[in-house]
Amino acid sequence: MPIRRRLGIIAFPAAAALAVLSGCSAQSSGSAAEATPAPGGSLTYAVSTAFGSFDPNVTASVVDARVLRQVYDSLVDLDAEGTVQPWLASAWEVSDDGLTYTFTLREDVTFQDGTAFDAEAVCYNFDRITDPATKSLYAVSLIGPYDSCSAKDPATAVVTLKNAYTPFLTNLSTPFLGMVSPTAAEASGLADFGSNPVGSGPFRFASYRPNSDVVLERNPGYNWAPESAEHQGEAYLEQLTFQIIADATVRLGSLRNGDVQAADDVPAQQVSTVKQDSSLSYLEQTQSGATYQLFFNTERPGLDDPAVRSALVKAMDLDSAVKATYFGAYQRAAAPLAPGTIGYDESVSSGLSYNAQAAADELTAAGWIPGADGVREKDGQRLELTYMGPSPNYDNRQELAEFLVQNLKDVGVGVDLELLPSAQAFAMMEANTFDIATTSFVAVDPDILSTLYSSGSIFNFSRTKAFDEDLNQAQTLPAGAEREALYAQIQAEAISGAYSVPVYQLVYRVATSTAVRDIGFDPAAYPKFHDTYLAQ
Amino acid sequence: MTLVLTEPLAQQSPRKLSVLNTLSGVWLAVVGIAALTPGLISGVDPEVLHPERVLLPPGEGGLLGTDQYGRGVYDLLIHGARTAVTIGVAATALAVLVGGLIGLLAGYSGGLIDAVVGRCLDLMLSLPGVLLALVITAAAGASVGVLIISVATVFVAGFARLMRSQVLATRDRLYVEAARSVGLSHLRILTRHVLPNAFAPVVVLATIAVGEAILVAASLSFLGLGPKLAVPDWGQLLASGQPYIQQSWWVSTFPGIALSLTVVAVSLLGDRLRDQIDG
Repeated sequence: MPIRRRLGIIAFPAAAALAVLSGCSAQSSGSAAEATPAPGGSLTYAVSTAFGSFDPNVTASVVDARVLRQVYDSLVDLDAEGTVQPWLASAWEVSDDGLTYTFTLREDVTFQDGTAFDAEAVCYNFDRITDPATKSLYAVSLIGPYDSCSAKDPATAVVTLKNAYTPFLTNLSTPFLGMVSPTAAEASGLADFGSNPVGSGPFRFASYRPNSDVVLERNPGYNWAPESAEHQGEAYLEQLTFQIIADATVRLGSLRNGDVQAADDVPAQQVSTVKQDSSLSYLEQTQSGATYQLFFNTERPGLDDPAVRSALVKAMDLDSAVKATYFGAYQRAAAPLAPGTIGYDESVSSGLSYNAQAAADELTAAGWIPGADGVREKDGQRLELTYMGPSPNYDNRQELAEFLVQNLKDVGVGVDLELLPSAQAFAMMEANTFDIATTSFVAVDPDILSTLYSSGSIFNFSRTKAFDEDLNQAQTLPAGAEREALYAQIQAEAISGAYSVPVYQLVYRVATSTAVRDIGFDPAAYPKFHDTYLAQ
Repeated sequence: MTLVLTEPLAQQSPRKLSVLNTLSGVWLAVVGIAALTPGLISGVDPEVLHPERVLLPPGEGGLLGTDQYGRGVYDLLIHGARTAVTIGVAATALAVLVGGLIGLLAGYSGGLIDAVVGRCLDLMLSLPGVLLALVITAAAGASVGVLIISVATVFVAGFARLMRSQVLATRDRLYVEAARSVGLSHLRILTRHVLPNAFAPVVVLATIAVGEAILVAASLSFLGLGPKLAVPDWGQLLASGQPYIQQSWWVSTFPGIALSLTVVAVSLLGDRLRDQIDG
């Protein structure tokens, strides 16, 4: 089976959007008194980044997904334990060969434009995603080897895959595979649907001013929330506005002076201040998917030797660097997969520890001897690495890189830190002239490891071909212990072979006024406002 | 008889030694020493990062606190002085040299050359200086050398204009005509008779330009087009402390103060120089 190339993840090198599994429930530091949910009120939620499109079948942006989740419902829901639960599909059956999925649909659901939700609508969605004219950036990769869909009767949709693809069901839970209204999608056409979204979610679209805000209003008659919701029926909030405020200082300032009631992407350095502020509540949710990792390009001189890569891992004081950069707001990552993702296993990195002396000794043993200027050499080749970092600075990743660069220089490795805007970074990826690169992904299924380690993926920064067979097999194994064990094994080998080293876990951080209650998060940390209310 | 005929030097006014001028002089002397021998006043290597002591306030983290890399802000300021002074002085020198030469030739030759050069200078002056420098730096890549050239570009037209007007004012004076009539070469007339008279205003403008050049370089650096982290630089320090300013005000504030003081001190010095020359 060919490895699927996962292109089109536009949020690189920031956390791009992919699929997942469980997540810890959000923790709130606010000492909010108990209050009873009451309908009414409006909430303005400040976000850091501008939106692209509200067509779930087209966009690949994590930021767009935060709005999509309110407007669109999915066929299935993923609970905090990483188990797939019913949503618009009340039940499903998977054939033994993993090729046929039979979905039994709820019959009481209507889209926000009055169109009935039925099997025809489900099939319309899949066919729309796979239609090349749609130019789907991401959704199309989530349904993998989709072949066809047929409506057996209004309440039964049968989806056929070309080959077994276990991530399919998990991925169905993401906002990117939220169900769009066929009537509205046809009426708007591809060009306009992205700014006139119609789904079946708890909030319906009201207005959108690009680079400013998007306003949603309560969807009257909504009564099909998943089991994970706190309540059934309509959302409490009458109006929900996502306002774009790029500057973190302004965003938090707007929250403090009451212009907005919540602000996301709290900078790591501000977390402790926000936590101490009695007028604010602080929420955080670990994002499922792939942690922020550092990859060594095994096709580059020096790094083709596993002993050298292993020594470089030992040379970096990752604990100190993460602590100094994020002030405790982020935890060191223990594995390529984030906690809350199926197949997460923290023991895979148990052998790793910082030891500069051992690193230096191992480099010497591998034949790399310090030259006149302290930079190690072997057979006339200098150990000089190009570390590809993000520009503009995202999530303090430049600061983090500087600490690691110093660690590497301390053991006699020359490092050129190249901070590149994404276009130039892609060019360097194409030219394969980088030695060290970093990335993270938001995702719900452990198959995100294919994006990181399969030879067909452009995000396979280590350029390894060692995992193709295992990754292919894991895509087809049915969900369960065997599949999880295989993913644990792949991660353990990725670390022991020093193809990559996990650095930190992504956490979505939100500050709200204390009146805001019950913002929920799904495992990928997309906020859910169905249960949200304002305490009086 | 000497052929060096010059106008009588303007009567110098008694020196006005104000407190401000003295303070400016002292500050510039400190910056100068820091630029020449930073090791003398800060024995710390500013290139070494200390993850265990990031963003410590003044006192706990040394005289002026530490930045997000654990480096002492005091040490960074001292070592960053060299970058500021180097770029300020070198860019101005380059601008004086190139601009002066252009102005000299245009003014002295007159006619078509003067007209063409004049329009070109107008064109350059019509572009916002910082924007021009920004484009050059963005295109050529950030390094100290490129910064010097791009900052110099900002000032070239100004110096050319000034030099041209000074040359125009002197080239038809009697003593120049006299020199011409005795058969001196153009080169000799230019260097011995025209230049010395044009020199004073250029020196005054150059002094003020040094301050502005430091500011333009810091602006570029603030926008991320400065030297890399390993080379301490005030503008870059100012920018890198910005995301932390609500918690750790010292990272950006002290470089900002150092930059302001330097530019003001240089301006005051230029002012005084002008007073002396103008009388």
